[in-house]
Amino acid sequence: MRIKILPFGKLSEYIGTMNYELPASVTVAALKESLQHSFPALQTHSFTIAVNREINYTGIIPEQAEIALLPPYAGG
Amino acid sequence: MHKTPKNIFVQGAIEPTFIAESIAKHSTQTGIGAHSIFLGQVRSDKTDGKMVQAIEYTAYEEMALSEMHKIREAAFEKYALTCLHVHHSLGVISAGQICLFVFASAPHRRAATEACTELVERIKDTLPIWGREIFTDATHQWKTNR
Repeated sequence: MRIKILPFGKLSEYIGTMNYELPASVTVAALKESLQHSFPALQTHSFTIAVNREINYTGIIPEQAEIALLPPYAGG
Repeated sequence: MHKTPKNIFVQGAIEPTFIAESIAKHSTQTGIGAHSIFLGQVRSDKTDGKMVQAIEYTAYEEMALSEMHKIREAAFEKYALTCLHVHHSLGVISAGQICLFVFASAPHRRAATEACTELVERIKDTLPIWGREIFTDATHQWKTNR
């Protein structure tokens, strides 16, 4: 199934906004592993994942989900 | 009641005249006894002999607005406030310019000052906003909050 990846902060220097193919029935943890395997630069940077604008998402990632890769915030 | 989240983002720096106008607009609200204002200004940090010339702010805007909405609702629950306004810059903001404006108004000063302080911390901790520090030699590094 297809999801959309939005990288933010420093991660946007390594990957751009993109569509990404995943098998069905994938959790956030499995998604993170898949991304880090596809894009090794993500292995050395700390980030949380938001699924449809929700952090701490549990359960299976839905079809067409908007996945944001969020390094530590630095606003203000 | 479903409210559309207010847009806190402005393109470019927050002008001092905007801040003055915001204060002036509240003069008709005569139930207000205190305003507490926080202004964040881009600081010319020095790292490894290089100076910050500007910060370029980016954000996950939809998520930031929904998170800000939650912060705002919680502040009105906790503090006896009349008004709360937050403005955060996006884009390139030069050192010396204002990039964050938090403005809390209340009948009494303690609610205004405490709400303003708490809001600044929550904004910095929980809003998905990032800053790319641009040095005078055109190199950059990503900002980390203390």
